Amino acid sequence: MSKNNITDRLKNFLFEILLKEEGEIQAEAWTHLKMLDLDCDDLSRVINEIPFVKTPYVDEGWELFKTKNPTKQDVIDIVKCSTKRREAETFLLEHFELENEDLVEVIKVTENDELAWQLLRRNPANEELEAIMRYTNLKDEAAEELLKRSPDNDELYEIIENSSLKLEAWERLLQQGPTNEDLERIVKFTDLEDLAWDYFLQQHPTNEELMDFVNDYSETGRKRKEAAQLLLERELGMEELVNLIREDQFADEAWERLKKKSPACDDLFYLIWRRTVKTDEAAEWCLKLNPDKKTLWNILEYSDKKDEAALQLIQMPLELYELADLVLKSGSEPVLNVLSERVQFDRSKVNEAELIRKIAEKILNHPELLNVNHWHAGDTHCLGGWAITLHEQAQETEKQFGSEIAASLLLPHYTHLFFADRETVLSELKEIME
Amino acid sequence: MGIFAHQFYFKQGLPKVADIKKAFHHITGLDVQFYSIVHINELMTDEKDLLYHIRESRGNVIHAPYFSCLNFNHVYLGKYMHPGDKAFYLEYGGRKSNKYFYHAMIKTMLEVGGATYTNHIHLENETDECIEQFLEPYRPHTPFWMRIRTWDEMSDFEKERFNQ
Repeated sequence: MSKNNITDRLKNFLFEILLKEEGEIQAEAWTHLKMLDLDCDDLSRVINEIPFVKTPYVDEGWELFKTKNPTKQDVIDIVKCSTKRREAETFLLEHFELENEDLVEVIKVTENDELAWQLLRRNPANEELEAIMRYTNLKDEAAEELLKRSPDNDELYEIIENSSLKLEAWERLLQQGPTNEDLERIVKFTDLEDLAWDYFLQQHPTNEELMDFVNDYSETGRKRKEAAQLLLERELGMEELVNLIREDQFADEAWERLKKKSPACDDLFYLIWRRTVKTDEAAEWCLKLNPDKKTLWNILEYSDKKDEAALQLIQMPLELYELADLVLKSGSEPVLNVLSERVQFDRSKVNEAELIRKIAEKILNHPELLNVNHWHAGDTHCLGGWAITLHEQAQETEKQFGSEIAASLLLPHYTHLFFADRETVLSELKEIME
Repeated sequence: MGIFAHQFYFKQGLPKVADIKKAFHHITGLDVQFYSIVHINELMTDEKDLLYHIRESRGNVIHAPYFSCLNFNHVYLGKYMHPGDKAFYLEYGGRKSNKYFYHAMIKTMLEVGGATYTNHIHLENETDECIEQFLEPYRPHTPFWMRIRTWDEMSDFEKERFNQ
């Protein structure tokens, strides 16, 4: 292992202590660190607050940093990330000749108007003027300078968003011909919303462009309803109709139109899975279409059409673990019959109503016997665990196929209580006994 | 198959290894061993020990600490931890046949006071308040956790179900 490697590891190790410990241990780590010939990169870790926490050695670190002949970029990095921003900025101006790009980097962090003035006097490039507009108070000065040149549409947008010369920029934009994308962001993010929207409509936006307003990724909510309404006046594809439903924009009308297009199960998968306002309707529609296993599980999981989906699922070849999952979601008779046949359990001798009352009586008289976190734990059990404990035949099924299947066959109408919290179980048992 | 990792956060500090072993035994009926470059009752490693082993390793890779149990593949801690650390990852190789052990280790960490924040990436120096808003409540009565029971108590079907 090279000496450097060891030194680097030691430094890293001591930095960890410096950043995570406090008091004497931290002080000791700092003393040791200083013996390790720290360079500017190392000291930046002491001075910078991001991504590290602030240490109590920022002042000392900064003094040491200045003695290490830092490069211009080293100091700019301190300006960007440290509580020593102001000191570093002063040091930068005193010791280095700054190019325009350096000034922009500093302005972006410090928002320093004085530096912005310096930059303005140096015939800055258009993108440098944009930075002045965005980050300093010299917005109008930069906008005015930019308007003297031939700003492109993006630059005009920056003027509209950031300065008070927005109307002038807007006029210029109209002369140059704005794209719908230009207009979309003006609507969404500037106070020329209505002006830009009217112009946007004159430019015959595509469905996709209107759908961007409906999807509202910017979360401004601007012109969302208007865009949805306009879309419904047009010929829409299935994906677009699904999207309107998903976004709950005129969902009833969109659903009626979607049905007329005879959507397949795959077209509606997303509508069900996302639990939209039309999930149950979409599930019902799919159930008529001879759906595949994937669609049926989707319906079973996310819609209220569980029993209907379960009935179709049991017509298919299912693994036992699938049946076990199924019976937890739908305790309908046909599902129970398939499962009991599969595990050779005779349900005819099970009286569910009697069994649940017996359990309820036991638990309500001795609530300490209910343990909702374990099927069985000594003398305590969860609801399903109690059912098995009180039924000898089911204990054999449990040994072979597990507790969930055994309990589900005994109490198919109470499977939701197998995994419920204590309060819910007790409350439902009380209701049963009333 | 790939590496799977689950993140934990212990506001009150990391649990003792002895407590983890006890909780694991209670959940699974099995014994778990903890292997670190130093065998102490801590998930974290003392700085001096770690420094010593870095020197001694002479450039060889030092494996992360890990838990082992029966013939299951090891479950690793994401890294060597320092005193004061409150968060770590548990990792495993993603073999299906290993899921019981991995999930039982996760349940163990939750039982000894850890919390998970699956949908949030923990940054180095986030405040407790920031992390706490992402913590997920531990609900041991829900199906996922109820299915992790003592090894001997489970039927072959239930054991196999972990591999589906």
